[in-house]
Formats: sequence, structure tokens, C-alpha cells
Amino acid sequence: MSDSGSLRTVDGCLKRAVSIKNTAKLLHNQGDDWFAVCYFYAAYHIVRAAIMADPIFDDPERLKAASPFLVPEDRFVTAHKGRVSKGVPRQFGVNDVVTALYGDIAAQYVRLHMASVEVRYQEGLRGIHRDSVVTDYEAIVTAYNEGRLVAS
Amino acid sequence: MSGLDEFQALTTSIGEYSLDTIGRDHLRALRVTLDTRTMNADLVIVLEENSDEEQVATLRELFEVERVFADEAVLSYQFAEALDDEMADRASVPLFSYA
Repeated sequence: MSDSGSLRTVDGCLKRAVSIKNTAKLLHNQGDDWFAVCYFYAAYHIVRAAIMADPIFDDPERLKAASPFLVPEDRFVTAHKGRVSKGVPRQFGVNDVVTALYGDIAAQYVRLHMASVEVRYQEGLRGIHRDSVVTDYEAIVTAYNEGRLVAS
Repeated sequence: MSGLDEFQALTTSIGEYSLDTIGRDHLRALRVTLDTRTMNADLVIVLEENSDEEQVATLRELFEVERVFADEAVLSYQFAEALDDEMADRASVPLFSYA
């Protein structure tokens, strides 16, 4: 999965997040489960903005201390989950980077991804509550606005 | 150990480690299946109490399981109200089940 030029910048990602969040709100008000997919992708662009700006990706030693599988190129990773291949180190996706670096909101982010999978590939939201989708998104936005999406 | 045995051993390890990490008293059921082409392990989790807080706590425990198996499998999760029977006919898929 490759991304367009604007989505390789912090501003581009944040603008995209706002646009998708507005769609999420419309769909939520209409009672359409696809709101969960939109909230997930709004969160996805927010965390990508955080990852791109995070100075840890300028420091390979700090990266390795956070996870042996993190590499500087993960700053621009777009796939959700990484992959395991024989003879090659584990590759990380955005979900993995968030879990490794942003423990505060990792559970909320992964659950948002799970909710989007339920809607896209199954019969809609079942195991995950509608209210959890909204509060998970809000937790991520709050963490970003408070400057907490930076690896410590 | 044959190839399929190794995959089954990995699936069982992921299942048992997940059980121990989450805690049996929090779980009604757990199923782990492994796609041996992609090495994606899907965990279907049926919690005793499927609340917002329990789900968050469970995911935080599962991140530890992810760390342990990070170079062997990619883990994905699903919260469910019950296990369905779809796996009953897929005898060739490496499978771990707890109920």
C-alpha cells in the first residue's frame, strides 16, 4: 500500500483525519455502522502524523531499545499489520508501531482497527460496542492534542 | 517434527500463553487459528464480561503475547459473544480451542 504525497506529511495526514472524522459523525448520526470504519481511518491518519513527527525515528539506538523490529523506515509505514517472512526480520505495520511506542492509546487504536474489520468483513459491529468506537477515537485525539503521542 | 506439527505447536503455544496471560477467569472461550501461508494467527476471544474496560485490559495483556511471538506470527483479534462452528469443518487448519 503506497500513499500519495500529501499523506507523507504531518499536515496532510491531519487534514485527512479531520475530513474523515466529519464523515464518521454523519454516519454515526444516521445509525450506520460504517461510522466505525471512518473513525478508525481518522485515527489512522492521526497516529501516522504522530509517527512521522516522532524524533525517535531519527535515533536507531532508541528505536531498537523500544523494539528490536523497529527501523527508521517505519516512520512512513502504511500497512496496518506487519508480516513474518522466513529469513527476514519481522516487518512492522502501523498497529505494531503504535503498540511498541504509544502504550497509552495502543489498546484503543487496535480496538478501533478491530471495529473497522467487523464492519468491513463481517456483519457489522457485534463484539465491539458502538460507544467504545467513539471513546477510543476521542482518546487518541486527546492524546495527540496533549502531545502524548511521542515515544518516551 | 513435520511442518504441520510445527505449525500446530506454535498455534498451541500462542493459545496457552494467551490463556495464561489473560487469565482463565476472564475468559469464557478462546480460539486460535493459524494461516500457515501468511503466518497470521487469528484469536477469537469470548470474555466472561464483554465490557469496554475488560476489552481494553485484555488487549493490553495480548500485547505481551504479541511481543513473545513477534518473529513467528502476526496476531489479530476479534471479540465475540460465542464461538461459532465454522472451524468444525476445517480440520486441516492448525487450531487451539478453549471453552
